[in-house]
Amino acid sequence: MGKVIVVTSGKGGVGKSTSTANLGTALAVLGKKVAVVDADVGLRNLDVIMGLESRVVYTSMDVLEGVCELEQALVKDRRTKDLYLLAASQKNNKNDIQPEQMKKLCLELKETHDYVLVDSPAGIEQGFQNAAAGADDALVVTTPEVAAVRDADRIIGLLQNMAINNLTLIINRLSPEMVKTGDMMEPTDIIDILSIDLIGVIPEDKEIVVSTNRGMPTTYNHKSDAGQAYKRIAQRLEGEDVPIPEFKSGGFAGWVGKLFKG
Amino acid sequence: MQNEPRPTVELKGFRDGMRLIIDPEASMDQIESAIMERMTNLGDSLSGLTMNLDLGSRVLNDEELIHLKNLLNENYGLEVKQIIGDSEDDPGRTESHQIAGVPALHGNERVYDQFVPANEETRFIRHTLRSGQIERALEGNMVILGDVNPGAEVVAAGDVIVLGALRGVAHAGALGNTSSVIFALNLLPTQLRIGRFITRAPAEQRRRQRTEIARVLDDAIIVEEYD
Ligand SMILES: Nc1ncnc2c1ncn2[C@@H]1O[C@H](COP(=O)(O)OP(=O)(O)O)[C@@H](O)[C@H]1O
Ligand SMILES: [Mg+2]
Repeated sequence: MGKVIVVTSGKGGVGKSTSTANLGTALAVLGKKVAVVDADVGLRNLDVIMGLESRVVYTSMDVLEGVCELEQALVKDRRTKDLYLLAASQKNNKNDIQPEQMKKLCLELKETHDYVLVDSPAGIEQGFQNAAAGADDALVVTTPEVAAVRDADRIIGLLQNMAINNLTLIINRLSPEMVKTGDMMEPTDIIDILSIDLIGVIPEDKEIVVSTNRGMPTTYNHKSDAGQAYKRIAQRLEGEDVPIPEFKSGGFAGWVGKLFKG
Repeated sequence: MQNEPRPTVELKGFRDGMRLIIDPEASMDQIESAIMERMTNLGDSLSGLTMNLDLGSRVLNDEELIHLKNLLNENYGLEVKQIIGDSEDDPGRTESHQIAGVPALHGNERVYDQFVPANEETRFIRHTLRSGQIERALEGNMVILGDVNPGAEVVAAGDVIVLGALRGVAHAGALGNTSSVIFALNLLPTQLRIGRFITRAPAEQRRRQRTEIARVLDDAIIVEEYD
C-alpha cells in the first residue's frame, strides 16, 4: 500500500505542477512506482509539463463516469520505468467531481503504486478540497513572498482541519541574491511563521522554463540546480537523511541541516 | 463621586451573548448616531455575530425596529437575535414574542449577570491561529497558546494574551473596555485595537524577539517592554 501526497499552495503560479512533475519523475528514477494525478480540472497542464500531452486519451473524469478503466486512463511515461500520469479533464469544471470520488480514485491508485502525487489547483475551494480529499500527507509549496506565505498558511490550517497532519514545506524560486539584498523573505522567517518542517528549497532556475517548454522535467538534467534539489527532496521522502544546502549567491555553500527538523 | 451621564448606547457582553443597550430616553436620531459612533473603529471585528437589542422601558414600533435591525446588519454584519424590554404598556409584544421577525423577551426574563471582572471568563485556544482564522471571546479574555499569524485575528471583550508571536490583528476590549491590554511573547502585529483605538505596526523590521504589552494611555495605544 502506497501513500497519497497532495501538492498544494493556495496561491497560483508558485510551482505546484512543476514540483509534482519533478518529484514524480525523481521518485520513479529512484525505482518507485509512481502515479501523478492532475487535479486541476479545467486548467490541466501537468501532462504538458511532463511532455505527455499527445498521449492522453482518457481522463479521471472518464474513469469516474465509467467510460474506461483506471488502468486505461493511466499514461505511461516511457523515459522512466513505473511512472504514470492520470490527466484531468479540460472540458469539465471542478464542481463536476466530488471529494468522495477523488478519494476513491486515490485509494485505488495507492493499492498499486508506492506514491500517488496529486497536483492541486490554486485556491481553497472545491478544486482544492477534491485534490486533498484522498491525501495521507501534503507537500505545501510556497515562494519566498509575503502573499504566497500567507496563502500557504491558510492552506495549512485547512489541511489540519481535514486531519492531514504530516505536512512538509517546499520553498520554491529562492533567489540568493534577492535574500541578500533583503528583497525576499528568508527561509528561516518563512518556517518561523508556517511552523511545519522544511523538506527542500528549490532555487530560481531558468532551466525550469526551458524544461517545461520541452516537456522534459529538470530532474533529468544533471546540470540543473533545481533538478538536483528535486532529487534530494525525493530522497528525503524516501527517508534518507540528505541535508539541505544553504543557497548563497553564486551557488551552494555550507549546509544548514537545522532547517530540516524531520 | 459624580455619576457619569448614561451613554445613549452601550455594548456589553452577557452570559446569553452580546447586548446593545439603548437609553430609553433617547430619540431615534440620537440612537442612530450613537450606534455609528460606537461602532466606528470596530471594523469587522463583530461581523457575523448575533446580538440582543436591549430596549429597557423604551417602546419602538415595528418600523423603527426594522430600521435598527437593518442598520446593524447592513453596516456591521450583526444579526439581532432577540429583543429585550421591560415596557409594561406593550402587551402585544410579549404576547406574540415576535417583533419585526425577531423574538422578544419580556423584561422579567432579563439575565442580569453582566460582564464584570468577578465573573469574566477566559477562553484558551491551544494552537496557532493561521491566516484566515478568527477567534473571539466576547464573554471575557482570550489566551492563545501558540502564534497569531499574519492574516489571522483574535478578538476579546477583555484582555488578549498571546503566548507566542502575535503577527496578525488583535482586538482587546472589543465591546468598549479601554482598560484592556494585549500581551504577546513576541509582539509583531499587523494591527492592534483596544476598545475604539487602533494602531498599526511600525514600518521598521525587528529581528529581536521582544515581550511587550499594549495598553491605552491618554487616548492612544502605547506599547511597552514587559519585564
Ligand atoms: N524554481 C523555478 N525557477 C524558475 N521558474 C519556475 C520555478 N518554479 C516554477 N517556475 C515557473 O513558474 C511558473 C508557474 O509554475 P507552475 O508549476 O505551473 O505553478 P502552479 O502549478 O503552482 O500554478 C511556470 O512558468 C514555471 O516554469
Ligand atoms: Mg498548476
